[in-house]
Amino acid sequence: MSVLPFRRRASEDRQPPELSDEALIAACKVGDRGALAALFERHQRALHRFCSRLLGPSGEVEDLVQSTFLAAWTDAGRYRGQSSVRAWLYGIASNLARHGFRSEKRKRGAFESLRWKPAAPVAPVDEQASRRQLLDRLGAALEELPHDLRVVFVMCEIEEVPGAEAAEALAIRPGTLWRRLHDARKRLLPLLEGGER
Amino acid sequence: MNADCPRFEALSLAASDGIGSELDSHLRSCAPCAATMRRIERLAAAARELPWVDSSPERVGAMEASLLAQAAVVRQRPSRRWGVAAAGIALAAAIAWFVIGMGLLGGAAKPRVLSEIAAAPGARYEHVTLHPQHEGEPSAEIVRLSHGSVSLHVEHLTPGERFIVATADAEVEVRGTRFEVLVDEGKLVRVAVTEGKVEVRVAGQEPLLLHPGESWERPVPEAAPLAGAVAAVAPVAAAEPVAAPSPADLVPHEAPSRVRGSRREAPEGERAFASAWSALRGGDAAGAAAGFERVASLAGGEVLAEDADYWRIVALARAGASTESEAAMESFLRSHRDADRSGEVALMLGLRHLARGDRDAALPLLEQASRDSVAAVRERAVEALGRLRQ
Repeated sequence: MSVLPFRRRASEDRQPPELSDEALIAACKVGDRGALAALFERHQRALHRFCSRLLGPSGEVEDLVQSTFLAAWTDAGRYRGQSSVRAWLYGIASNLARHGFRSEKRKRGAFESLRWKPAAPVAPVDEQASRRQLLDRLGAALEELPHDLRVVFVMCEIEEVPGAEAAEALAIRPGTLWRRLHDARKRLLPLLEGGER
Repeated sequence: MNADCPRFEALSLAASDGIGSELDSHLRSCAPCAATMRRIERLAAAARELPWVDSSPERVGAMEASLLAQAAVVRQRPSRRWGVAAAGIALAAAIAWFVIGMGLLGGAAKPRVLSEIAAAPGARYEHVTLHPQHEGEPSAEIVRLSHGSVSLHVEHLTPGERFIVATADAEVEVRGTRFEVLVDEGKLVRVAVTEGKVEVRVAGQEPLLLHPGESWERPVPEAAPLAGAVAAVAPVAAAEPVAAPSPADLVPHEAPSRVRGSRREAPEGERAFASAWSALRGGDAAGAAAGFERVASLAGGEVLAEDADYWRIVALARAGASTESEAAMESFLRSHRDADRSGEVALMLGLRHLARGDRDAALPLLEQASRDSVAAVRERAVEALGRLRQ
């Protein structure tokens, strides 16, 4: 069988090429639910993590995840490719959370954070306790941030979405995004040991 | 801190966007600013450690099944008219895709291929352009088709242009033609040429040149009829060489061979399917339902009729005709008992009955769906059975 002289991928690759996120979105546009399933399987966990940190520990996280993918399906035709699909999904979730889930969040107190269980530590016991307390305080403080600041902090700082992509996904100017991130950091930094600047 | 110290916002921006040489130099000599940068980094590190509770695999499966079931009946919003895929996206999203060049793009002239691609429902493909890396190399438009069927019209190519449909195991290269390619999970299944010439190169076999009216096909496993397939390939236990195709069925061949004037599933049925599909995408659910009903009467093969019957169910549901939609589901289950989608349709109908409280009608359907080959359908059915038996 002839091989294209400028084929870039390894000729030993015998598997059908995995479709890119953008290709899956394009397939969703034409009603391919298999592509939606593939998109779900690929991004469900990251989106669940994002939504968990956006909403705090709550059963509504799964609802938000599912609503986000359904919104991505119905609005696949509006994806413009100027941010990654992952960031785009985060933007959808953020928007849904703003309009539909905020009222639920307000009903829960900051003490919900006590349900959070830190990952297994490897430091000595007193450092473990100190770290646990810091994460508890940080989780509670994150939950109390205004939605716009929390979204930007979770997306950029925790999920490490580049600023330009995050701005595009949230449909805000980069300057606005940075301002929100600075504000979020200013509010959260005092939680760290060492006080403020 | 001193007067030369940047504001907090500048440090915060640098922490995310990168530290320039000037700021780097300042940080080396200013302990308070360096401490602030370290605190910003520590905050980020702590935030990434915040715990979160993942869903169980069972819950994830149930979520996926519910999502897909909802996606089957919700209406998708059309693309924005001005929202064509931006730079960086290799795949053309719409049914029809045109590349127009020849001077519009300015700069050094590069070969441009005029092509039109129509993908059947369920087809998965990517369309990329490879520009020559060395002097004298041709440019190429590559359609990587991993599953399903696409119809292509490629204008006559000039020297320096190539148009290739690539699968996991084959390439189909064209020279200004109208032709169709059918792929099942990466494997080339069928190529049919309407105009022009097409060379088919399958791994391990001699290249084959097809002329207008000719087609190539090979045996496919019994696994599943393909969604939106434009031609039916009858599964056989063992491939047999056949001199002439039967008038009603396509006969697969073990080795690639030219089949002159092979009889395909009625072209009128395919055209009617494409028309109904366009109506569905365009939001005319009622028109689509009528169109798919017509396809079923025209389709000479089982695969196209099954697809048409399935999408008629979806179209009726979108049109709000729930009674007709349920009747269509019942008809589907009678007519296509062993179809791949029978479990999915049984699930949809079973959930409808369950929603109305008709447990007796729901039970056998959900039990059928709980044995489906698709995990998401099985899990959704099991969940519904659990509720039914409470």
